[in-house]
Amino acid sequence: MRYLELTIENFRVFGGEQTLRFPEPPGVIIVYGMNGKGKTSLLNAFRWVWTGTARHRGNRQVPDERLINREALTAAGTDPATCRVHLRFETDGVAWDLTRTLTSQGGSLSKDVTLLRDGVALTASDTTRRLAELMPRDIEQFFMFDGELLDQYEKLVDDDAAAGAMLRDSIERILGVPVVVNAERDVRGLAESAARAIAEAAKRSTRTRELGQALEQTQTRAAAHRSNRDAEDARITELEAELRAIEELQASQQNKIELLARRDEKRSQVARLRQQLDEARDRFGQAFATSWRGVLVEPVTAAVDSLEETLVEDQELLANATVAAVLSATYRDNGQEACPACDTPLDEEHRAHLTKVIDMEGGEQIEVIRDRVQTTAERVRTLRKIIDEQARVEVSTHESAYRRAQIQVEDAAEELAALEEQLKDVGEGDELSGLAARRDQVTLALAKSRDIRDVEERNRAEAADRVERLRKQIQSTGGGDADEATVRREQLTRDLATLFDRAVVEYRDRLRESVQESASSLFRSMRAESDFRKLVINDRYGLRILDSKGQIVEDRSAGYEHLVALSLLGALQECSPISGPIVMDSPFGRLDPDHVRRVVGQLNALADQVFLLVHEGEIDRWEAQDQLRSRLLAQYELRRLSAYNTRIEELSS
Amino acid sequence: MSSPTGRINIALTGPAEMAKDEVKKHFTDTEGLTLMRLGLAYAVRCRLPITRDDAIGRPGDGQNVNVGSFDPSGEIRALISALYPDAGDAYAVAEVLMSRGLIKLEQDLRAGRVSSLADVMYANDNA
Repeated sequence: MRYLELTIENFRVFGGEQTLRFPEPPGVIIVYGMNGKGKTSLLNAFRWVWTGTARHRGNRQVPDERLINREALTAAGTDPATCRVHLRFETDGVAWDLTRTLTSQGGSLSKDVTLLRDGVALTASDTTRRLAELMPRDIEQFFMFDGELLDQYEKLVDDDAAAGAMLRDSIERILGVPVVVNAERDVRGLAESAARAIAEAAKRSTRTRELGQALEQTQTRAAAHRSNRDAEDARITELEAELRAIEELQASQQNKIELLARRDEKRSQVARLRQQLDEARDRFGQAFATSWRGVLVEPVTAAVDSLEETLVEDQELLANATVAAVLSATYRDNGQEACPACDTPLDEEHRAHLTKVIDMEGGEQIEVIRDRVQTTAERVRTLRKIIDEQARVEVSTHESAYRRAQIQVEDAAEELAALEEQLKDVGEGDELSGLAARRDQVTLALAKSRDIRDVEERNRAEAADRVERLRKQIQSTGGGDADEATVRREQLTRDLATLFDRAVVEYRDRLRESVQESASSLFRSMRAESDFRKLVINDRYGLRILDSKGQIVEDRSAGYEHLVALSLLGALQECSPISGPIVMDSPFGRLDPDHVRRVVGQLNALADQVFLLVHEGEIDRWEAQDQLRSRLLAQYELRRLSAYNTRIEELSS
Repeated sequence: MSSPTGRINIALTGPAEMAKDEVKKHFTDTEGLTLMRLGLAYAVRCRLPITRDDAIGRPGDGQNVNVGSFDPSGEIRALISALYPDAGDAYAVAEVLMSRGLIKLEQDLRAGRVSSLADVMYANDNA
């Protein structure tokens, strides 16, 4: 199976219609997005289109009414609002178009799913059947998963965990075990039916009547014990499911408590930042009032420089005129006979020249120049007062602080809105204490059911042995009234049942060995600790690490738990008759950079088409490009336009 | 209160009033008088013409303030007189400049030529 195109319309945080086209060759597609930007919503788009179910990070189901993008819902008002996910994919040359739609109007929701095979729409029942074949519900978790939840695979090595038992069943489904188990059950039914015919025949013969009656009674008893055992098996499955649901609820409620604490802390932070913003705004406002002086620094400085030049010139003129006036007075006092500076007697020509100069420099000219000097000096003083270099510094400082505070408030408010949204998604739930009490009850009931089941199985086995002994006794006394065909049918179906019984055991053993070898191979290629040699599998498909001395590594780190889980997922893909693209949300959160590099190097071993939904703290964009090279088919970034709207933008390589 | 030039009021043109609103939205919520002075200073900085023309609209269609409020110490009149000594009525010149300055500032903000008040204070440095 290969995904060709995904179109998302008004689904969760994705407003409007957005389409992602996936390139042809096998490889890796990376979608980057910070926390809260929509990675889990994108994973849910894949999950929802296949199964009609979206899940929170705590694995709890997202209520349908929360699937439609909030902005689209608000914009629609009383008109219908619709969310839609459309997936185009191909399997073995067949083109498929899968579209799931949810419409909300007047408080009621309507759902629709359509599947086209090579452009031809299938009927509703065919669609359901085909979807169950293409992506069986129980195994979708191996194709679309949240990396943060990979720790659930730890439960496979815990014999008491209900979730582990359910996971084991899911793992056996992806590996195809139910096909053999169902065949064994059917053949066993045929064998029992044939054995009843033998008992009937024995009752008809006088020599074997009593044996026939005993055989019939024992068969009935064996059938009753089998029926009781099966009923108890079904009850155990139900209780395990309930226990798992309680565990999920507990995780979800725990998550809610943590979310509430984070929300409260964020609210306080927003209030504090808003207070700081108000203060920054006031300071900026005060600085703003004098900003016009800062704007004028250069033009006014230029004007002052020019005026000061004029002032110097006029002051020189004034000084000259003042000296001239003094000399003129002296000259006149001396009867205009001698030079007023050196007292040298003057001839007619010099006297005329001197009189002319004194008239020009003195008198009323001095007042004109003095007025001009005073005016200019006053202007310079005025302009100098206007220039305010400090205003510029203060405006820049306070403006930066104000803008910074604005961004901090916007970021924090957006984070708060995201937390409020998550809290709405978590919704109301049972209190933790009530859940704990219910969990205790279910755990007790489960233990009791398992005991009953074991007793019933023991009784059934004893009855089956007795049936076998009686059958042999009847056979040794002539076989009663049974004809040859009945005897042969009983013999054949009994041998077949034994064969299938062994086949189931052997098939499981072989599968476990294949999974162990495949997972070990993957693990060795991804692990940094060379002393960790291989993985060993238990009967629940739980994997433990074996070191070079053959010792089980007891206290493995969270990172290694993650690595073991990825190895198991890769091995299941390899050993399963069903294969397809893998979509992983936050796959590397627990891994150090060295292990991220190693896992990225092995992505092609996990599946032909791998979608990584990551934040850049998990994997460096340039390093991913460098390492994956041609296997990196496309890169996208989730860009948040608002708290309720994220765009998926393709990045150029 | 009347100014030494005899003027009582000084006013923005209609387009300048609209520009002022946009500038106000961009920056913090600042009072009109501050923005009018900023407009005038920006016009001086950008060496905009002091002559009236139809493009900037008619004074009086926008915010109208008392000269005493606009220039309580008379330093803006002194500034205009110092910068444009032959221009006549300093407040008539101020009126043109503040409208022209606000209109240009709004255009420059919209075009991304300036985005902060710090940009405004260092705008047109190489002009």
